[in-house]
Amino acid sequence: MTEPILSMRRLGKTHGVGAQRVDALVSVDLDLLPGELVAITGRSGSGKTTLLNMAGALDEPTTGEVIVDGQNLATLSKQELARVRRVSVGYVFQQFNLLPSLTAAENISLPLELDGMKPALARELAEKSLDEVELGGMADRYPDQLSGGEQQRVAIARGLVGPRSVLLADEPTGALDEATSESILKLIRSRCDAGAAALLVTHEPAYAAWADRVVRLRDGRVEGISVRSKTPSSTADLS
Amino acid sequence: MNGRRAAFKVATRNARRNRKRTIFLVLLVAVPVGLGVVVGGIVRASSLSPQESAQTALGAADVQVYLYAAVPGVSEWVRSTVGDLSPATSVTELRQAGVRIPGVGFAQVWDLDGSDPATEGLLLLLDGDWPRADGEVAVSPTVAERLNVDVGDVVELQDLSTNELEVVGLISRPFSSEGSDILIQPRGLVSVEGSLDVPVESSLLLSGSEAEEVADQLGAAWYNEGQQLYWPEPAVDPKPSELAFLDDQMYLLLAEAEIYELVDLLESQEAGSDPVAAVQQLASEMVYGSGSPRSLPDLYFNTRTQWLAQGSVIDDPGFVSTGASTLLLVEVAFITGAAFAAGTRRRLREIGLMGANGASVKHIRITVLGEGLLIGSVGALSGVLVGLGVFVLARPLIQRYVSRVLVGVGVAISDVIGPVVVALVSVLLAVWIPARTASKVPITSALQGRMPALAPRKWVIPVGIGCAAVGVLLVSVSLASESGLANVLVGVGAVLLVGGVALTASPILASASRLANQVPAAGRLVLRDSGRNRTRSAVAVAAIMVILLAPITAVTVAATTTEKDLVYGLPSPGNHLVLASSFSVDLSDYSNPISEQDVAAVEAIVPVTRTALFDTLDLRVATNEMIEGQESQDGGPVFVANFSDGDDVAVGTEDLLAALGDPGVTASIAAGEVVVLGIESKETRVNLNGREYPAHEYPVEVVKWSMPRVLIPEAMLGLFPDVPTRPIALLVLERSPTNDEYNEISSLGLAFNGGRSPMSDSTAYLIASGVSLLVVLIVVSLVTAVSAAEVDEELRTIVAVGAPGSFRRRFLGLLTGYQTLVAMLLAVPLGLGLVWVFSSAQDFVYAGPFGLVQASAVTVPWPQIAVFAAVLPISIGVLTLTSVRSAPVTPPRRAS
Repeated sequence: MTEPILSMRRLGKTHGVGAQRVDALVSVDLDLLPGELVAITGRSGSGKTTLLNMAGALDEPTTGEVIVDGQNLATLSKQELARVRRVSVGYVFQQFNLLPSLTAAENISLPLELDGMKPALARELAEKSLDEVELGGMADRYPDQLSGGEQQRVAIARGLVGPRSVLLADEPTGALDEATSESILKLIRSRCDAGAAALLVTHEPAYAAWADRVVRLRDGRVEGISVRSKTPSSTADLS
Repeated sequence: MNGRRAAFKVATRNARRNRKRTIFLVLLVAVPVGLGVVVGGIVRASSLSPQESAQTALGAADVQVYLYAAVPGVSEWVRSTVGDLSPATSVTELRQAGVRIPGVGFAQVWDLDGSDPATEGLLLLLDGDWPRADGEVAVSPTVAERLNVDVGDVVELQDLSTNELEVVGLISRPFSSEGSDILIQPRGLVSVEGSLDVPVESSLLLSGSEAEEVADQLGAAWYNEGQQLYWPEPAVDPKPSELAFLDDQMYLLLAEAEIYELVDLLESQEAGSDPVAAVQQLASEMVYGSGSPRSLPDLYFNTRTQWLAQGSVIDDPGFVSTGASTLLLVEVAFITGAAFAAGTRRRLREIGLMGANGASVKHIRITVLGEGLLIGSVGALSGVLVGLGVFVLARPLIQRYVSRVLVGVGVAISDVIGPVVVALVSVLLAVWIPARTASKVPITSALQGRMPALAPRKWVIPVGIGCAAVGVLLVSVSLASESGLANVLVGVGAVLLVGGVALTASPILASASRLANQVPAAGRLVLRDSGRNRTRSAVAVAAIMVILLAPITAVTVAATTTEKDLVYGLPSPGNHLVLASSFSVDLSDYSNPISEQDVAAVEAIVPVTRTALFDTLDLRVATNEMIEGQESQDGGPVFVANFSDGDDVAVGTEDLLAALGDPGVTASIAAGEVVVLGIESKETRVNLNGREYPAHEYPVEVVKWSMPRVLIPEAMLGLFPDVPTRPIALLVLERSPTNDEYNEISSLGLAFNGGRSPMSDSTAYLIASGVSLLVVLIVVSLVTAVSAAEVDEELRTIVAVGAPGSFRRRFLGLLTGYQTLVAMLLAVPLGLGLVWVFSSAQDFVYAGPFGLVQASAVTVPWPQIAVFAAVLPISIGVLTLTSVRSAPVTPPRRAS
């Protein structure tokens, strides 16, 4: 049996104390296998982003544990957590994904260079990643010279550059039109089909349908999980 | 590299992306560095290094033996003794005389041999040849210009020769291009010495490898056996037994009549008085206190080693350049800190994005610090280049200012290193807190552009107070110390004191923000914004506070000085010029009278409304009541009503009374009263040569130090038949002389005082207020630009929901006014504290004819400070309000 690349056990997150206490997540269990695309859905405040932040070593759980590539994040130092973010997981946000002062290639190579890779090699890998997201000729463009969809493609390329194999996407299509959104979802799907794993947060049921599994959250708890047997080739297949 | 290179790349890209801010900060850093380089260069140009000083005094020789009060034979004794001690050591006689030359003024006349290796370097030959024979002369360019002569011309210098002299060369002192020097043929002064009305100063230059050692042995031989050979015979021998207590050397200097006067004084002393003290005082006055103090022959030694050992770190141009730039860079650091604090908040999402992509705390710090390093480096380099450029362009002006032809660049590496290092350190320190703050923000908060509101750190106030206390201690201890490091420690102490108080700005702003609910909307936002963005607001407050220290300390020092000066009389009027004496080369000789020709010479230079040439009397005016337990500034005892020595009494002639123009003084003199030109109107008593007279004091502004303070009617002259009189002149000018006129008067060879208005307390206050208002405005505009960049998003939201566009102007006006007010509240106690700390180390009293005051006393001009404290924040707020733009009524633009 394939080992999960990302595993969350009895994950809980509480904000505040006393009367101000809010349970953002309550005992969530979730595994993500290589090549798998899992969608997290739910209403605003259901805990989707909180779950994603803890999976990406951006936030610490109050209870439970997160295991990425066999490493229990609770046992790692801040330096080691930063390294997990550099080499294991990549993030894509709804907006503001790229550093405006760096070119597309430099944005992609940033985690590699931060990890000590030589700039020339990092650049080579970044260009390869750009090719994979069909932006081969745009390596030296700055973010303000790219469209919204192109920026998200660059972000996805960065999320899976080098040794990274887990993509955490928080509403990646939230600021895009429908056609562009579809192309982004297709891209994520294709990257998963090529072996990467992705956790996709979305509140659009149509987009969740691109996933292998859909986890529905409600008030911080897992309300249900559905599994798809056939992956759509476009959003139209789902309607 | 562990990603440092990548983090630094982000830093450089940020600097490029925020080009306007980067250029602005680079310029802020460059200006003080450039200024430091220029100041260092000017100090280097205007001061002589120990080697240069040695050359100026010794030429190529190794020791100068100055023959003080020399009598015939001393010079030969020195030559002979040196010959005995070391035949290899050569002796060269150097003669100089300060002579007044018509058309030139005071000039130094030399008669050295230009080809003598020992005197090489004392004078430089610029053109022509050295004078070698009688009838030849070389002059400095200044003399040549004033006499309108050149090489080959002839001049008449009657003091030096009855015949015409041929100008054979142009000479100059080394490191000075503006001296008035005349060189005549070797030993020429020996032949004209008798005809000169000034003494010829003589010294001997010793040269050779053993010269310094020989000087030591020569000194010992002089004190053991030499000097007694040249002591005069006592006027009365043997010494009267009643005067056995008198110092033997002082006794040798007394004339016969004086010795008998002392014996008489001893015998006439009443019971209960101290006859020995009275005789010693009178003997001392006879020998040292008269117009021409007497001395026994003596030798003084100056060696090359002593010259080279002179100079302290404080005088070093590198130290001065660093100090000058540091003063400004402290301010720059505050503004840079504010700019980076604002920039960090604006870039929170970028920082969060970096964190999400694996940037560690260290990486994020490097991105901020790297930008600071880049700005500091480029700023420092630009400053050095600009400074050097300005120095080179201003070279003609600087050369004129320092009276010296500069060779080479004129700025040393050591003048540059200090400002550059201080620039880098100050910028890095300034960005350290924003860098640390940025790296501490949780990534999830940063990604949402949220800076978590932190409670004020509890350690800030104790640490601030601790720093200030250590600063006070350091300054106090250092001021009482005589160590060479004391000046440096005083500086460190002052920085700690200012820094400690600046640290308390942050908790003060946090506390004040709790009052936000009680004020209207704009004020509420200001208080909240300052409380939430404490780093940015606190550095802004500190930046303004440092500027405000200048006027507060300036007006306090001015008020204190005015109060202290009152013990010596009212301030000198700007249009009074007192000609005290004509110049003599022997500076202790003030007995040369002022003549009508001297007065006419001055009147030809500057317009005069009234002139009084009047007699002064050499009377003792002091009451000489010693105050027990008090020490004066020079460490001596303190006397009440201690008028300055000699010439304190003038005859109230019609001319003088008219020139003074005080009806009360005129009436009193007409009524036969003694008048004191003092500070208030009152009846008083004056002691003249041991006898008291009733007098009337009037508040009259006269020139301090030169103008007699006591006027007597002409009818009283008969009471002092044997007292010598000496004429001096009071000129009431139409206006203060210009600089050129002042220099022209100086060249007349007269000792004079006055002619310029010392800055009054109120003038100092107005200038200090005006200058600080300007500087505060500049600082505030910079700080406002920084603040506005951060809050504009928020303000546009407020405007979008219905506030008028002018809300932005109101907000920024209130914000700057509020920050200036908080800065003022900190600056007032800090400024007064600084003055108090620096004054407290002065353990003596100022004692003058009109009272005494402790040197440590501080006079605080509360009314001026109160007005300043109330008006400045309002002015700054209103100026900001009227100068900034309203917010456009468009929705806020989110970063993409």
